[in-house]
Amino acid sequence: MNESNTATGNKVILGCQISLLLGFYVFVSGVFTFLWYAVYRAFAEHDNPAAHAVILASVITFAFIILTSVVTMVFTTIIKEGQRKIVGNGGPANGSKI
Amino acid sequence: MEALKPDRGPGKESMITGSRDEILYQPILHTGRGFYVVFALLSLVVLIAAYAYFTQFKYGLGVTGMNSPIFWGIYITNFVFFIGVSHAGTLISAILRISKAEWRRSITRSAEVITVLVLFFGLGNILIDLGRIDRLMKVIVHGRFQSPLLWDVVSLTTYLTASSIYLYLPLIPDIALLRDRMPRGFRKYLYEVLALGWAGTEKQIHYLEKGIAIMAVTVLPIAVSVHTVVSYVFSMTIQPMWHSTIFGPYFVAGAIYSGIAAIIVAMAILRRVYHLGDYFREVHFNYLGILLLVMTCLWFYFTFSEYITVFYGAEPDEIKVFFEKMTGTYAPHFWIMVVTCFIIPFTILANNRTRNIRGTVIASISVNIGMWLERFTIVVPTLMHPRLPYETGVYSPTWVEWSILAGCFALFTMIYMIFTKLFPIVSLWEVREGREKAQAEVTERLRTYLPT
Amino acid sequence: MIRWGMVIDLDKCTACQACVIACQIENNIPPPSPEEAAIFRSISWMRIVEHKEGEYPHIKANFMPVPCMQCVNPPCIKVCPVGATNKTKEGIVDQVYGRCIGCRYCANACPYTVKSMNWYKPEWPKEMMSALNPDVTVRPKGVVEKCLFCAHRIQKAKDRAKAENREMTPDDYIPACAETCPSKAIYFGDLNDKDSIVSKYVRSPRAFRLLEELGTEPNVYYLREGA
Repeated sequence: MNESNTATGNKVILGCQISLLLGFYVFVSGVFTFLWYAVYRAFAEHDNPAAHAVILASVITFAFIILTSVVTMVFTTIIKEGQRKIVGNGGPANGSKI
Repeated sequence: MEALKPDRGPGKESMITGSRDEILYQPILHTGRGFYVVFALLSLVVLIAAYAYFTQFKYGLGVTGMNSPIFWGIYITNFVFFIGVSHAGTLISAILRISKAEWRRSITRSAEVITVLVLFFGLGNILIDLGRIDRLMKVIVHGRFQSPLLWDVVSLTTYLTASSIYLYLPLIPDIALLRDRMPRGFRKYLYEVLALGWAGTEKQIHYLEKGIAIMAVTVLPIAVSVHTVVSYVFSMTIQPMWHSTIFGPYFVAGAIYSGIAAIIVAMAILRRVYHLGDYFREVHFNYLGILLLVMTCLWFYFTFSEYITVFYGAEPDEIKVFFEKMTGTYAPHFWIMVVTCFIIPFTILANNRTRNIRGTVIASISVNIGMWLERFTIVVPTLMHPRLPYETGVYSPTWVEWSILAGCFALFTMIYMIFTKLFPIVSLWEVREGREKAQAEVTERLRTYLPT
Repeated sequence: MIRWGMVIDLDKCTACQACVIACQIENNIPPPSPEEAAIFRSISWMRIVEHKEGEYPHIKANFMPVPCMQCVNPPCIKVCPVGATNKTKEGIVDQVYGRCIGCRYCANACPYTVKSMNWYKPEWPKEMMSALNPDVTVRPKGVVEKCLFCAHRIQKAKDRAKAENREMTPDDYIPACAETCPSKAIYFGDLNDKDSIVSKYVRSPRAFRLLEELGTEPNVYYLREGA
């Protein structure tokens, strides 16, 4: 229990948690890049009907925006509150509301 | 909110919160000999499968039984089958959560894990099927969205992301409970990171539940789209008995069907192995059995519609495929499918007395075998009789394909076992929430339904 | 714009299979081992297909050479996930071996089953290695291939014409099967040229195409037997 209460231990854990969130953002931006590059190619190469690419890219972008919003909202709230508890009470497990 | 408070293990305070669910911590804290034995046996199967794939990678797809015109065989069957099973979590977790069915509380976790894990095997089988897997990046860099396979890639990625998030969010409070229970070590560190500093504060609970609610609604259309798009791979071609408009709903219904069956089997095994009889009760199996019965009838309805349309239309190309399935080379596969997908489950599940744990498990195993055969009889007989009827072939799967199928099941089970060792397989906080809050909520809800 | 097309006169075709052999030699098609041939894996870009009617002893058998139909609306191009199969401006359905990932979706989508897959690495007996055509790619394992109307000969024809200081004419280019046919049953030329021989035959009452009702619009026509 003591390890998690030290300042550095805490910072490392917080760093891991934030990098989880950032990793997710990297993945989502990868998906967006793939989709919109495909749309660009569909127009540039005149090879396949661009309608398919545009429709799919729009729908999937919309879906991923929802997913990203949910993840951001949940992650940031939980992490922030958790940090507040750590600063306030010396550990998220020590004491709790209600 | 007692349920979401951190758990300090057996002790005076946790007599109220902790010790009642102590058995759910047992798999994480202790590992018996049985686990290691089963794990070792499964690893053997996976090693054989790996060797089979290595042979295929080295020599080419020729080591399988595929030929011209039967260019697709067991790998594509596996692909469709595993993606189908992945609808387990969506149905139980998402639909039952939205419809506020309280009996879902202990089974959501095991269902969501099936969903996330089995998607990898669906994807994996498509990769195994490629002639040039080393050129996989070309799908990303040169992908053409005109092709149904690209729709597949995109919707599978979305579904994988969504269901992983949907598995992880309700897992956070349970990870926090574990974090506070575990002694110092790597696992405790892992839980510290993954719990995101969960402390059970009101704000955290509020946002988490909101997030889970949004995900439950979001994951449903994504799941429907996934298997619809998988069916489009077949129905967008003009091959006889593939070019069918019913394929979209048919595949989704079949997916939900095999998904429920998979959950029932998983639950029965977990119940036996981890002594979870108190959490996976007769009533759970009974209700899942009723859902399975509904899907049995739905599956029969779709299959009947599909085949009677072909039979009555008697279009020459299609009727050839039809009779290949009914009375030809694939008649055994087709009729075993009918027996295992309809006759056995229906007779077991329609009868109250046989719809107990053993009955539903038998029905579920039968359904899974039948659904695999259904995918097989969709893929292969059509390819045997292409539109220009001069090319024909016989498909005899080789040891490579069977090994990889066995390896998929084995590896899935192994990863599932590892999951149960790391995280509780029953959603602890949801069960506790159910114990504490649900009764009052349900009584209140009932009051709003009924006239005063 | 040129639209390459083929007309095969079934009256003149004797099913001698010279076109099949010529195609195999010209295009570096590997000979299958007997085991592979027994499980339906022999690759042939040009096939002789036997259409039997009636019952013994009153059998009528027709033989048709079937190359790739080079459709105007190819079902195979619609489904390729990476664009390995696409159409040239002159109407030939192309196959890019370097792009193909071997998913075989195009092979399944083609209603004429003209696509073949390299299930193993193509191999020839040592003695045949020196007979390989240097103008045609030897395919790696794991990719799909099909008849390309000997499109490599178009480049050769253009080079030859340039060397002779003139433009290439449609007569300079002919696929191996059409060139080899001993009974001259295969005609080849520009379907968009009203005066070419293929255009004339296409307007004949004997002309038909395979699976016309599917709307693929093949560029390979057949002339029915019997005047």
